This record gives sequence, C-alpha cells and structure tokens, in this order.
Amino acid sequence: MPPSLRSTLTRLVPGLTSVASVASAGAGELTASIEIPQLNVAEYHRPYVAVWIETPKRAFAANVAVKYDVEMADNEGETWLKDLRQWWRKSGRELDLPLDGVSGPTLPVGTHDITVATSAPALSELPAGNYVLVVEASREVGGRELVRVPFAWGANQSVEASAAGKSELGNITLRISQP
Amino acid sequence: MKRSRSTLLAAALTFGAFCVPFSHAHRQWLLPSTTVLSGEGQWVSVEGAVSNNLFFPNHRPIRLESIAVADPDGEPVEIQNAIAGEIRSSFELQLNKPGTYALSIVSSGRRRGPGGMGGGDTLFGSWDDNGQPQRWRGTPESLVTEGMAAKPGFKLQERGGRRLVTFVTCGSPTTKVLEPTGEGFDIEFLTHPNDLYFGEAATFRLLVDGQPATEGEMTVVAGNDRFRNDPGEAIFTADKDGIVTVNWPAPGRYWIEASVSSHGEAHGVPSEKTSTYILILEVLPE
Repeated sequence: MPPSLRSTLTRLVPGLTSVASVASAGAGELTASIEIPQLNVAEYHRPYVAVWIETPKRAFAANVAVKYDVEMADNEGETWLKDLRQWWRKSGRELDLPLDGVSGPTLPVGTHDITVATSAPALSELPAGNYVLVVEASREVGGRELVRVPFAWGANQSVEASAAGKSELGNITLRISQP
Repeated sequence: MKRSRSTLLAAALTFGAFCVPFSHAHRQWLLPSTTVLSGEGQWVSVEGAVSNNLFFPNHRPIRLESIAVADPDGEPVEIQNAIAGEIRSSFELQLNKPGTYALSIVSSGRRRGPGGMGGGDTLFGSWDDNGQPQRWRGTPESLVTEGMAAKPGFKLQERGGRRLVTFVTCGSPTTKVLEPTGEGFDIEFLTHPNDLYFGEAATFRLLVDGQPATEGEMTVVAGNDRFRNDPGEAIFTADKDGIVTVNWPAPGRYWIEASVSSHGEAHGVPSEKTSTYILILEVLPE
C-alpha cells in the first residue's frame, strides 16, 4: 500500500462516512483489487477511479477510495471529478475534498489492491446484509465504466466476489477477511 | 399521456411567416456548455439563440440585455465575455460559489419579447371558416372595422408571461434559485433540474399565482433534431395536483415548453391568454 494511502481519517463529514485506510494487525480487512487495463489509444490519461459501497437499492453506504489528480495546484484535479458521474452524485459533491484516507493519486496500468480495516467506522457501522461494491472509472478524452460486485456483509463472514469490466476496467475482486 | 403535435406544428410552420405569439416555428434557448460541475472557480460558456433546430443557431440571437443570472444565494451575477452575433449570442460565467445558478429571460406579456416575437399593439386572433382554422392579425381599430367579433369562433390570442430558464450547478445542488415566485406562471421543481438521469422520472409542478395549474402541459423535445426526420415532440399533461411527470426517452439535452392558457375577454371579444415557461435541461446517462 503506498504511503499516500496510510493517512488516517481526520475528518468525518456529517451524515457521510468514509474509511480510514489503515489495517491494524489482526483486524479484519476489506480489499478491493482493481485492474486498470492497458489501452491502445492515441491519447492516454490515467483514469479517475471511485470505489464505494452501496445497498442493492443503490443507496450510498460508504466510501472506499477515490483516485484522481490530487497533486495538481489549486485543486485543479477536482474539475473532472464530476465525470465519475454516479460517485459524484451519490457522495462526491457533498464532500469537502480532498478526503483523508479516501482521496489518492491516479493508478497506473496494472492491478492494485485497496485495503481498509473492517474496524474502520464506516464499515463497522454497516448493518449486516447485502451490499454492492461499486467501482467507477472515467478517463479524460476516453470512456467511462461502472462495475458492480454484490456481496453479503456480516459478522465473521469472509467474502470473495468478483466481476469484470469490458472497457475501462478489468477484473475487480473483493475480498473480506475476518480477524 | 402523449400525443403527436405534428398537425399543430405543421400549422405553425405554415403561418410561421408572420410570427404568432405561440408559434412553435422558432424555438428560443440558452444552452450552457455543461450543467454539472466539480471543483472551484469553474467557467461555463453559454450560447443563446432563436432557431429552427435544437440546439443549432440558424435564425436570430438572444438579446444579451434580456438575460439575468442569479447565483446560489439569489444574487445577480455579471455575464462575461459577451458576444452578440447575427445568429447567436454567447457569454461566459464564472461559478465562484458552490451550488445552483439560474440563467433566465423573463418577459411579462404585451412587451416585445426576446427574439422579437409578437409586438407592441399588434393583436393576434383566430376563427373558424367552416372547419378551416383562420388566423387574423390586426389592431384594436381593425378588429372593429373588419367586424371580426362576428366571425364564427373568433378569439384573440394574448400573450401572457414568458420565462426561459436553464440551470447550472457546481458541487452540491441547492434550491434557493428554484423557489417559485408565487406570481404568474411558474414551475416548482420537485426533481432538481441539475439532477436528472436517464431511467429516472422527473416531476414538475405547474403553478399559476402559486396555485397548481391542472390544465397545464409540457412539450418535451430532445436536442439534435437536425439529425432526425421526426423531431419527436412529446406532450405531458398536468394531473389534478398540477404535477407533470416526464420520462426521458434518452440521455441528452432537452428543450421543454410548459404552457397554460386562461380564457377571458379583451377588446370586447373572447380571448385566450397563454403563458409559457421554457426550460433547457440536461439529462445524464446513469
């Protein structure tokens, strides 16, 4: 896990939840494995990617990560966050960005693991039940894709579920391990 | 409830040579470059025209001086980099506050409106010549000298209030600029106009003087009609609570004209006063 993801949650937006990206030893972990495919296009920019959890009725439940141009001056990178259309609507536009533990830099081509502790407030407070991990990717001068991975969440329940994108995203795997 | 407007449209086009106040031959619009934005200090560029196709300038510009912009607090915003062209106007706006901005053109009836439709003392009327609808245009004097009151089914068409509005939102949508005025023909946005998605119905309540307008209707036309043989107008009527429910046929930009008519008398003859409210809205894919 890159250092940029190791910051702890310092701010909770009222009414919204986010996940601190620190998994302490012995705690349960939720890992979203995300494949950013190699694309043969004339102009390639790394995609913006949002990862969140929602209910089967598509109500927002928790943020896992949002990857965008966090390093640009004057928060210029936030200009294109609206292109993560669903995430922007469900959560992003309500947030004071950048959000510690959630905001992070864009991902290069390859497979990346985003890991959070199941003890993090946003996750530990989720009632047991069915959920969907949603991964949305949007590429400047490119396409957009959304992949949903349904899963069941409950105490002492390990999860392995996956789905695959067709264009902007490759394989998406969700693993939840219990302590 | 949908029905085709093609016969009416054809009639309007036939008579398009002299502009009738409720003509559908030319459509007025303001089109923001985008309506949903993130980040800070963002710019939008807006085009305005009266044209035969949506959203392509090909007829007349919108008069820049008729445009009013309200920021999320309802405060006026100066338009920038304005250009008044022959067939379109354009300007830019910087969104320095988070929330929803309203861009509007408002004219109360009887005045020469934006786009030059209608005018000063000109009266418009219609009557029925053995089943053939006839149009009449004149003055209060010629109304009398031509004996129009005696023509079968003669009535004047008066122009009520006209409003044209579009919205842009930076960040989270706000509702201050959506508040109905309580005067004349207005729309209460039950669905936020910058939160419209394909696959989700949008609801609007039509109001006259703050009361539900149960006789109102909304005509919905998708942009890019230049590339369709059938412009595909759909008409949605208000229910008993004045609520109109619109299901979008596809994502895209839409031109929507809501109208209500009231029947009364003017210049000693029956008259029908029509108020209109034009909305330009963007519907995003899921």
